[in-house]
Amino acid sequence: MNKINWQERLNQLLATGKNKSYFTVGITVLFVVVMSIIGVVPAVSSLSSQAEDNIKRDEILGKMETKLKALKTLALQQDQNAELVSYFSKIMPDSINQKQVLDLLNSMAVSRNVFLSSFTFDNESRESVDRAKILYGEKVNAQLITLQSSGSKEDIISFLKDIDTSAYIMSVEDFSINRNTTITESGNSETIYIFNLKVLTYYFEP
Amino acid sequence: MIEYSKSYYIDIEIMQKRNFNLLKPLQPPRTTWDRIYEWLIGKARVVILVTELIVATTFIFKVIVDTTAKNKDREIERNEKELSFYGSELEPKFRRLQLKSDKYSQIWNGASEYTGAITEVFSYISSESSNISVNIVSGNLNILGSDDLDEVRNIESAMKSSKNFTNVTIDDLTLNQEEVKQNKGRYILSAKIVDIKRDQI
Repeated sequence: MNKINWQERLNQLLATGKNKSYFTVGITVLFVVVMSIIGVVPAVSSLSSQAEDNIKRDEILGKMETKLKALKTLALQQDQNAELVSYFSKIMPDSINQKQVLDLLNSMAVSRNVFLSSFTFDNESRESVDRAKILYGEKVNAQLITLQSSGSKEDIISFLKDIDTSAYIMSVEDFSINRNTTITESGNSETIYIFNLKVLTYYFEP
Repeated sequence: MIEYSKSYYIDIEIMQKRNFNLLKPLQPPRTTWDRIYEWLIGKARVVILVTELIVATTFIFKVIVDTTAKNKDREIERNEKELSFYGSELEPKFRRLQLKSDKYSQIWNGASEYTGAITEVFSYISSESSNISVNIVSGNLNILGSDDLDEVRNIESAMKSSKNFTNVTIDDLTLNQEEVKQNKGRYILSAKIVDIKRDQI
């Protein structure tokens, strides 16, 4: 019954030209709206979402390429400067190499004609070592070295200068230079300079 | 034989031309669906075509965007593989080297240099015979010696006039009877070194 009424009403609606136009406009708008809702809007939404994803992909790709380029450049530079890198790991070692430090100080002393009389790795004195950790971070470790040497004033100062400018960092904590003048049996005076020094050397924990 | 008039033949001819078809098909009254069908193949066709074009264009764009996305994903995957090679082995090494290098610079710049100060101090001490002790602790200089009093005054004034030392004072001066006669005494001269920093790198 309802169906017949609906058809009759539709026939009435399409009977006159004016109503037919209204119907046409209405149906067209309805069609466009329905198509927009079920077809175009989801498609455009999907497109824009995909486009946004692509922009993100571009950003990721850009970052990856920058990183790759940087890593490749660094790898190349490392190969080109292998000798320098190797030298750097010697002057800033990953662990304390007591023999290396001793050899270095001894060679400095010998070259300056200074006699190295005592040499101690001071593991008990924690103050300087702890201070180094506070100053330079947990990865940096320090080793306190106490040494005594003797020689002429000029030689001792040159020896100190070598220590001050050594690429293997030896940071002078404190020192004393004592001049001792003694009278020899022959009556001549003999002067000797005693150099006591505390230095900190550093190494980088792996 | 019966003769017919001429008009009779004309009438026959006309009757033959007139085609009386009593079963002529009559168009049924148009139903709602007929009207909709007409509308669909008429005015709505343009709208449908335009809509279909939009949908087709969207589809084409979707294909393009999807293909681009797939290509980018492939490129990301390739870069990831390459990065995992560099990242797992070389990157930590480089980062460590960088950190180590920074720490080295920090340590170097934070370390002290005393050669200049000690050279200057010894240049003021002209007497080469007496015992003397020069101590430096944390940038503070102490000279303990036994010398002619004029010599001690000279050292003090030279150090005071130097821009490399501050707070130059004679903390202690001790003379025994013999030393008074000789104008000699044991002294402790203290000063602070102004700049103990190395040349920065």
